[in-house]
Amino acid sequence: MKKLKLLILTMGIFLITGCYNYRELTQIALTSAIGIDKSENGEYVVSIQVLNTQKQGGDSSSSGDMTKFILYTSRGKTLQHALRTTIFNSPRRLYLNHMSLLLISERVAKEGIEDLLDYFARNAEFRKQFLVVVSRDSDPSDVMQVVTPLEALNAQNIVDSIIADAKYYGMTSKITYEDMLKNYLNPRTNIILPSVKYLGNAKKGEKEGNVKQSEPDASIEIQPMAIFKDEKLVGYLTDEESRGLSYIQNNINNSILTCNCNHDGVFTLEMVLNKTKLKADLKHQKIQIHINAKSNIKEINCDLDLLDPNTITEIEKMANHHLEKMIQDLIENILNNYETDIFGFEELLYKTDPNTYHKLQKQYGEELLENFDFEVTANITVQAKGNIIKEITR
Amino acid sequence: MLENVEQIVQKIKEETNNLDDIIYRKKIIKKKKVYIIYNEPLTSSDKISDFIVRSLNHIEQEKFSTKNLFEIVENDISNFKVKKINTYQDVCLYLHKGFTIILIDGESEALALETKANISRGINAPDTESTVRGAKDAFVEDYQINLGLIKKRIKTNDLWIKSLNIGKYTATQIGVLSIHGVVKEELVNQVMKQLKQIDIYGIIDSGMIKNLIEKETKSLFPTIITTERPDVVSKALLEGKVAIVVDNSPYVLIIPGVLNDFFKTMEDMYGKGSNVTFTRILKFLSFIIALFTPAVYIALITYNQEMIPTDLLANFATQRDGVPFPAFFEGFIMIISFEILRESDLRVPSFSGSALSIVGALILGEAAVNAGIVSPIMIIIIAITAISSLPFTEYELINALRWYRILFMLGAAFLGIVGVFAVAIFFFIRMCTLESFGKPYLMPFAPTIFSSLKNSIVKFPIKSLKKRQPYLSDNRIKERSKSK
Repeated sequence: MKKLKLLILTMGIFLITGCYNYRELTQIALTSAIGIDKSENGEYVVSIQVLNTQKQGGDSSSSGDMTKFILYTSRGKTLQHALRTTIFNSPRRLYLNHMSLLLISERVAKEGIEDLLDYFARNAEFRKQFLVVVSRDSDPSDVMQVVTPLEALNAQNIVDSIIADAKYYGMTSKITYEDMLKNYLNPRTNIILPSVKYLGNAKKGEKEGNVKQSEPDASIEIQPMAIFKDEKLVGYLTDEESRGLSYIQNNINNSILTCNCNHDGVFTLEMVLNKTKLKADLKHQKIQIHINAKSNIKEINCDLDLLDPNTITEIEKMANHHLEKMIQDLIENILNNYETDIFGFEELLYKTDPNTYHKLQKQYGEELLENFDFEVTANITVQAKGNIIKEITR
Repeated sequence: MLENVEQIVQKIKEETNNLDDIIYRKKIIKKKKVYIIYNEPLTSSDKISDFIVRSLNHIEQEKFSTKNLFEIVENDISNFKVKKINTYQDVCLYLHKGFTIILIDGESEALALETKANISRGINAPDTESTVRGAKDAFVEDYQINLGLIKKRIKTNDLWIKSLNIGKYTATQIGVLSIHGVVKEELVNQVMKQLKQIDIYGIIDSGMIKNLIEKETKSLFPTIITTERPDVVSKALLEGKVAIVVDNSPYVLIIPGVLNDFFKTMEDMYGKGSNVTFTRILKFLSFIIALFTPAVYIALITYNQEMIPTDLLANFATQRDGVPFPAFFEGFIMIISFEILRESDLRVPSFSGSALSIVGALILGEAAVNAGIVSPIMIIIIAITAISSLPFTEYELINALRWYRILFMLGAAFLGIVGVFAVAIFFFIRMCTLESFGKPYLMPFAPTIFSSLKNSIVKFPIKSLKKRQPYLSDNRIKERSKSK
């Protein structure tokens, strides 16, 4: 009898608390990406990309002619308001846990993203691992409606492109919301974000037909990094600068480096096994950047005699010089024109010697880094010349 | 007691309501009445006429005083198994066992002569525990043959058998086998005590004995092994376990049976350690799959969608689209229909069995998906669950799994993955508290017995398995003849 009572009580616990957070898959709208823009009157305009999980009539296996995703747009004074009122257009509530991409319009980024950071950190519905990307010169809703080839889901397409680029070229790097938040909360670092651009015809790009031709009417292109000062977007890097930034941050995995020959013409090296070491000397106010890399010769479009061992040394020298200059220019440009430390140099100084750092910071304030000398040394080793040794000529 | 022959014959006739099957043959030897009584269906008339009647005829012609007729008959009768009995109850008992009773007028004792007819099928290959490699003989319904199959394998004086009869009407012979010096005596005593306490009208099969002596009656999991393989029994005896052979049952009970025993097959003894380990890992995996898969699936797609990779979740969502039932209910329908299918498959005669499976599995499943009642993924989940419960030979274990499976599904339906864990905690506590005749059910894992872990999930080469489990035997070293 006692056991029976216990059993009934136990079952009661299940019933009382049971089914909290219960949601069937047919009740939720799987959100893959969110784009944030602002209208003229200061309202948030939110574009929401939702996976289309409707089954084809009859045949369950093929996805047929159905669109892979649906784009909703809604407005509101706050982000939460805008997101929740998507329900006006959609029969299901948004399920945000699987969101993989957050697209911020240039306008919002220039106005400041602090509110936005706060919202996504506060809201438990979001996972903090989604990528954040700035949509350059284009509306997020335009970027998000493009039907892309190969990877039909637009958001996944952008994410995959950025990951592939970071892995094989090094122009952008994969920056999740969490990384961004860390960079923002740390007073000694600044936010950098990759950016994307919409190319082509807006009206045609949203049709499924976009992918039924070999050259789509519209496409999305990965752009170099966008740089922030505090919460505001201040500008974009160029392709070369962007890669330079990756070299400094030791983010280069595999990349290519095209340099000018001493004579005319160019050659291209594939950079593998890069390692960048940063060293700060606060006493002499000097930061050393040392890049160690191995490379393979991929292409030679100038008059070089590879049979001569000295040529390799020459190539290495040219490449070293090119890389050093590339990075030197980048640092100069950023510190002089944007006055923001996107490299994490201040963090390096702080970590090396916090006391002196604080002293120096009091002394120089904002212009701390401008009083530092940057010494860039590159040490590129050519380890392979490719399958042929001599240049092909007749 | 037995002096008045006519009276006894009369009594038997009365009690059996003049049963035609009992044959009474009256013979006068040296002016003394001698009755030959036997039960026709149970006896071999060849044996009776060849040996008993002929011997008696022979005795009749010899010269001796009538005083010691009983001794003469006892000594001269050409039958090997002669028993002296002196009560009326024994007369009836042996009569129903297939013995021939010789009653001599004026003697206080009677003779029971073994003349059993061979009413048993021959030794066949095992039906329920098939192995690729290994002995192909299985127990039959005859007590003596079953004992023979075991004794054939263990040739020692230490194989002790304690026997008793249970059941008011059936008087079924039960034998408790153990190897003296290996087994813990207290285990044998405990089993004997349990058996002696049984008070029942009849025992039809060892399954009844199993239910009567099993202590953990509330537990779903089996704590006694049943097997139809003599080699399994022999192996168990050598490890220090106790076997119960029941007359008329082709299944022998082995005590104790812990969870790990149900993951082992006889073949494990013959295979290479590494290969056996692989199969055992498979079995443990399928045990876990059979328990958890539907529950975890339900928990993930109704509560914890964030735990599924996006692409897979989109896939699930597409498949679930249009299914009108909640996931738990959908799974429950499928599980119940599978169990009905399995049960009917067992009961129908084998010639229509395959047709039934095809209709059930293929047509019903396919049609259910097309009709949009269940999602294809649910069919996959139920199918993998069903397959995973089949590598076990012990039927009780499969049945226990299905109760827990539904319990896990309920947990998942109410609380998601938290519910699954809550039920899992209950499940593991239950398993840990379970005992089989005083032996922890999860041994050798909990409590951990390192020497026995060598033959648990992993199996070490047979040479390194030198010790018995401390719970089963005090004599832990497996002695060999050379080391003596």
